[in-house]
Amino acid sequence: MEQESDLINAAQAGDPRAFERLVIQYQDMVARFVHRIIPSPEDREEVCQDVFVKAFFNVSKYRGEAKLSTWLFQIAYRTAISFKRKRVLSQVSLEDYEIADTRGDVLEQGDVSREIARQLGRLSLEERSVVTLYYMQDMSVDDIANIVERPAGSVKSILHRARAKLQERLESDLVEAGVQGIGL
Amino acid sequence: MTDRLDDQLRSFFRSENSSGLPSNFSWLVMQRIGQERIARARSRAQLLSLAVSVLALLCGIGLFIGYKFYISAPVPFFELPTPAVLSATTLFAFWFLDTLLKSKG
Repeated sequence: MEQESDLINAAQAGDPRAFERLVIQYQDMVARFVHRIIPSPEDREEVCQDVFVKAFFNVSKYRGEAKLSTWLFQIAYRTAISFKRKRVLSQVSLEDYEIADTRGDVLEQGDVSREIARQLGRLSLEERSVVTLYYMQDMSVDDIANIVERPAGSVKSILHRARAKLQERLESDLVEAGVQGIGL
Repeated sequence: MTDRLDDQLRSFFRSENSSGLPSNFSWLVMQRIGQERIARARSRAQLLSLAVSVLALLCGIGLFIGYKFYISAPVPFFELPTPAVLSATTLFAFWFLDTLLKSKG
């Protein structure tokens, strides 16, 4: 099996097959991240395509200082944010999130997962992105800071704020709904 | 309390195993890249052809000015108006480079 660095070198030399292998390797990860910013499946697919097209034309600039995933997330974050700005969707409505999640597999996870998805949708784009990268990818604060182009201290405070919001809202909503056993 | 929330969030993200992308997504991306490459090559070629057209037009104007000047009062080459000298020099440089590259194969 080819090493990732070999694939990157081949892609940088202009080999489309090597790049396609990288797309296959990273597409799910990028799509799950983009899903948190762009809930609509059609738009999400378009944004994901844009991410990899941009990556292809800029892969020669990738110097390997950060992990390839970090570099791709950086492109994905910028692309998704600029897509949202173009669409003038300053805030994702809760309905969008609920629709998106009932189509996916989250609903099957039960009330708590559904509530988490709903509350994630209520966070700001930046908070949502930071929380997603931190919990979904287990990324370090420094890597996240690199992706969202903020100082590490700001990322820590965004994460802290988002966690506090989630905790407060989840507690109150789940208590209201009478869901037992969350124990936050 | 916060640890519990951390666990909940981690397990929530772990449970998302479907990306929602079509199975031929990588093929679609490569198609888009192919189209983008063609579009970029086309716009580069258009830009180049525009630049060559402008240069040819300028050279034509320069040579015309030189011809008119020379017809009315014949003078040595370097006493011709500057646009005419520049045009003729540019054309000569192109011809010279072309001959040089051809001779080197």
